Amino acid sequence: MRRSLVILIAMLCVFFGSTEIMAKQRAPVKFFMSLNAKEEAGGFDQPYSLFLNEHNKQLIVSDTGKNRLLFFDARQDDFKFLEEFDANGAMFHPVGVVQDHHGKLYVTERGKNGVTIYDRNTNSKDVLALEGISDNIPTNLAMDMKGNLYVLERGYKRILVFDPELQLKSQISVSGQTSTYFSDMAVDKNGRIYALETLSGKIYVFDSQGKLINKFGKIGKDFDFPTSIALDPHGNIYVVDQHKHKVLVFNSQGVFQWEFGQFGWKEGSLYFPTYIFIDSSNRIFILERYINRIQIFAPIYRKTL
Amino acid sequence: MLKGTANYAMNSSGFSIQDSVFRKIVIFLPLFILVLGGQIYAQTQLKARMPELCYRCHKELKKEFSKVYVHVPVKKGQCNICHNPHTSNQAFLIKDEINHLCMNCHKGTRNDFRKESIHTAFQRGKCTDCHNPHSTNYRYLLTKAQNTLCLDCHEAMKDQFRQAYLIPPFKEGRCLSCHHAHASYESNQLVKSPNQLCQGCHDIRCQIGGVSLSFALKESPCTTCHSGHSSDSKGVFNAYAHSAFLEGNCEQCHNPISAGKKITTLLAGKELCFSCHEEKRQIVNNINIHMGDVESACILCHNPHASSRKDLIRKHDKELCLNCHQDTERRQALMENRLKSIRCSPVKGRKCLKCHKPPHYGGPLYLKAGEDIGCGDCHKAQHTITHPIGEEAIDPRTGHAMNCGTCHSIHTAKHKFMLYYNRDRELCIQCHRR
Repeated sequence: MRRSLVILIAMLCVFFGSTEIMAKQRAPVKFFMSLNAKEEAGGFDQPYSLFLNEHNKQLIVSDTGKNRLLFFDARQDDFKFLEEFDANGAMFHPVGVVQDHHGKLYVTERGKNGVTIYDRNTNSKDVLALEGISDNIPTNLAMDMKGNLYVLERGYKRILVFDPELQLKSQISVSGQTSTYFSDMAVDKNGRIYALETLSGKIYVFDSQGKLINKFGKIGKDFDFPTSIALDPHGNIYVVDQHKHKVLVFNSQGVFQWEFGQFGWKEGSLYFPTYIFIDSSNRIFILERYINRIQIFAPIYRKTL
Repeated sequence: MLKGTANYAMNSSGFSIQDSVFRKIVIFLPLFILVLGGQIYAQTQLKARMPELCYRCHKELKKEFSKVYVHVPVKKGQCNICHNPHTSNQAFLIKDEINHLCMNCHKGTRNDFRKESIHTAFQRGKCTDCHNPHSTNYRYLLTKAQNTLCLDCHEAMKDQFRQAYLIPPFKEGRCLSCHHAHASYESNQLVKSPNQLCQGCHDIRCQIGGVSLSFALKESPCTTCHSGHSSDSKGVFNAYAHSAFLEGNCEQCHNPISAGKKITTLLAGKELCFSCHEEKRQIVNNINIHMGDVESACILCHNPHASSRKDLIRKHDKELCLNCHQDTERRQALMENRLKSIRCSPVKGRKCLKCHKPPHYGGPLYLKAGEDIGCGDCHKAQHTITHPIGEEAIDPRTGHAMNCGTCHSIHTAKHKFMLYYNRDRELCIQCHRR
């Protein structure tokens, strides 16, 4: 009797212990390298965001403080510096950046209304005006595989979706919520849009038609101050929490999977991380704007590392 | 059945005791208990009834406890409700830490801690800072008259009594007419919303060009423009006011106002502000811009009419900033618990704008640019003779010039002197590895 009781207790300990371990499982990612442009370009100055063009495999960093974009070769894992682009001095504090299949750059700049389009092939510049509102300063940009452009307008609590011909397709917002200030967004291969709201710590999932299909997360419980969101090729959702100095990972249903990162200045540690981007080969780029650092993490199974 | 124990036989009337030994025990045991209990009672019997016994020694208290308002246990003579007559770990032989002791009976008071606006004295002080636990001449067992008591801490209010126009409850020192002494769901522990409070005594008198603004202001907090206490201006306006507002020049910002119609502005959002304050337009060009992409970015922090705070800042930083940045408040509270004592007055007083000036400082985290990030305003001598900061001291971990924030964590420190690392063991070797 006593023996069976001991066995039962042991089994319960193993069961609950294993679920605890599973919940806190080691993150299957590891620090890979820091992106360095010190010698070639004098280093970063408060980089705001980055984008990896899957067509030409170029990594573009918006080097906000130095009014320029920096290009890196992303075909190899050494991320060789390629060039910088400042539109002959016309670019001003670039914030969001994406590039389409034809090489056109879409850039949002501090204090400028609309989205500036730089065509480096024709050396021309255009502005995608955002209709209806004169005082309109968009921030973050995203582009899906079909070339649809997503423009986040925090001030107007919405995301605008433009087709590749830059015709407005839809506006995405949370109806009835007057204080939903989206702070970042990500788009998956099915066109689902994941929008993050920092102050409520909520992630809203919209289908490609803009219908709200899921929301999860709570400030103070899941997050402290989430600032950026990205999706990996498997559909997992990565959220950067600036004040936790961590990246938290959820599955596509919003169930917590694992987390990585700890506060610090050492490589592999995170110091007020501000932005995250994940490319198709699952390389995770994390910007730490306040210390001008971009760190790259990657799955532990990635052989080239 | 066990031998020597009671033998119970069940019959229709119940149990009957059949064992003779057991019967004797049943008869004599109560007698024995009675005799023994009586002896013990005789030995421990108090020499007098409770309050009189205490007053035999504490003679001065009897008179002291006979003031107008008397705490119920004192009135009933139940000194031992609060005091242990023999020993205690607390001063005055009270049975528990004073706040716990009070809230053991005044359980409803605990709910006040859940409210949004909590009086600092209530949150951090002792009940006996304001209340006399025995007897006083003031309602709620206050130690002093309410206005005197409040002004002991709120000394700055004394100046407001010298102003030309005073609101009657303030003039009469009736602080509790408008404020709850512990906590409330309204800011500044008001007992009701400001407009309910003011309109409880008088109607809305605001008008422009003969048009009463009551239709537009019914739901607006009166304290947006008016002081709840006093003012040198006739309308009892707050100390700091927009010049156009003071001059009654509403057309400078608003379209013509007519009764019953929504009041609108000439331009939308921050463009209206920039139309006069053109020099501030560059703020939206800062790299780090707090909510600069929001149309009403200016009035998030500034009141366009009047305010009791310099630069027309809407509210105390605690409400202005920490209502949204709640995680910072949580972290600070944790830090305060961990470090026990923090001397940094902006942190203690939640004066966020002392160091952060969003969006006017465009640097990271809206801190003042340079090496002291604002700390040097108070700590003038710091780092003149200790570790260098600034361009001559580059942090090898980041390649940046060191500033106070390199070693000190202002909101989440874990170690003495608000340091990230223990200065005896870890701090220096973060950089000085050899």
